[in-house]
Amino acid sequence: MTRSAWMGRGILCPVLSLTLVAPLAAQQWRPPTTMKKLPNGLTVVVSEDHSAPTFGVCVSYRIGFRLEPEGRTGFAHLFEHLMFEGTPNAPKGVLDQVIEGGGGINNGDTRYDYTEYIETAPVSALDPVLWIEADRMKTLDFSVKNLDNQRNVVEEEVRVNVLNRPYGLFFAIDLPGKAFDTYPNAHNFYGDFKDLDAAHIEDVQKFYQAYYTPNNAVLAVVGDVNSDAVFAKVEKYFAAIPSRPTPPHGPLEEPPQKAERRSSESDALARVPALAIGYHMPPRHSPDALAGAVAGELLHNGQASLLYQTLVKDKQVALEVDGGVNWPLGTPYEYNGPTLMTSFVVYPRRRAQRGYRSHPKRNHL
Amino acid sequence: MRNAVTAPTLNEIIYELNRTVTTEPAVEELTAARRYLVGLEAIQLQSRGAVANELAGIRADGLPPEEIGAYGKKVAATTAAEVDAAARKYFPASRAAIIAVGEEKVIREALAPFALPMETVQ
Repeated sequence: MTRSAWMGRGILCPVLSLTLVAPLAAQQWRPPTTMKKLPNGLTVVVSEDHSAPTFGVCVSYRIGFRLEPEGRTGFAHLFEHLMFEGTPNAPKGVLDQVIEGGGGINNGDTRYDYTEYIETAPVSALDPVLWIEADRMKTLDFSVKNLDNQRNVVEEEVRVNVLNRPYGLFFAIDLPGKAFDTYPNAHNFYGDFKDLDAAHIEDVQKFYQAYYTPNNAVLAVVGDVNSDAVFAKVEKYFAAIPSRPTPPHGPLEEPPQKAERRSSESDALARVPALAIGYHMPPRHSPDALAGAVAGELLHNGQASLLYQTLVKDKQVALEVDGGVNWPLGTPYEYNGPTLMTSFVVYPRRRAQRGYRSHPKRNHL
Repeated sequence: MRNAVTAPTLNEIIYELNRTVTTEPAVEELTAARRYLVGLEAIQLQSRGAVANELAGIRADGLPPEEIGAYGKKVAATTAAEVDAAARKYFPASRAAIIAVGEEKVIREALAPFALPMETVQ
């Protein structure tokens, strides 16, 4: 890693002027798209790209951390796991057999505003992949055994990524908890164990009924496909799935923050201290949001960034910096509720104290 | 995984490796594995960067550029007997090196029944 980064730098330096040329062709290019809505409300987007004999499918449901019920923190993600545990038609194991046996790969992820399921495969597997996605949009195998099993898997994930890891994602979990005041934005999205333990099979059924409907989903198909043929296939596999009303939700906005907030916590696994700073960002569709995205990149992105250059290289008060707008669980363009620009800085104790003294104006860092 | 399940995990891995050594893969297993590798090659060559990287790598290995994408075709042609022979040659337990990282005391106790020579590295 280190070696290739160093070699890359040596090779890139002489052609630096090339990288400063504005990528005009990239600015003008748009992926071609065709969009349709089925009578049951499913939004379908197709983008043809014939550069490789493959395709990608993404089914995105408008349900994420923000809307998971109170007392059920972590539930949207736990639920995502259950989408891989089989249906009455395709019992546990069939999904992976279908996708991997078709030469493809698949994954899922849960974010603040959506949960998505993604497959990439050679075009020969398009029909079985659409079928398997339609199948889990119809119903699931609501089994207590699968729930218990995936509850263990998720709690293990929390142990590995949060409890037993230095810094334990505090910049992504504890910082929003401090910065926001309302449950949708402030709660621990990975899940408190008491909430994960309390999740019941009826919660799984209710959640599925409420949010896993064609009218609450977007299906995107991209790749070496013909748009008309894809719409015909989607019609065949998804049109019969009934729509159901999505329940209304409360406000997602936050009351304005009036004063700086600080907190500290100790972490037995951390060898050196770290801090995280969050700033509230404007709504996604505000003109300021784009400028905010650029500012976030300017500050955080890579070794040319302002924070890296200032804190790590120039003043040598930090060991590592990272961050950005809607970081680390999204891009600066993808959020549908309050979000932060987060800076994460790891620093050696002595150096940082010296930095504080000699640069009093920078003590918010 | 947790330290507590070290033994069952290792047991399962050794069982599966032994199974490849002692039996030929079932037709469905073999077909699925081959298709997966063939598909994965197509997926990995989707981006411009990946194709450039692969072409350079092939050249560095002294092969002609036509070799790009040829791996899948060769994988698709493998037979159950060939897979079995390769497993027997490369996967016997005597050829394995096992590294466990975690709580030493728990791991040592868990692995004692396997009667493997163990060495601790800090």
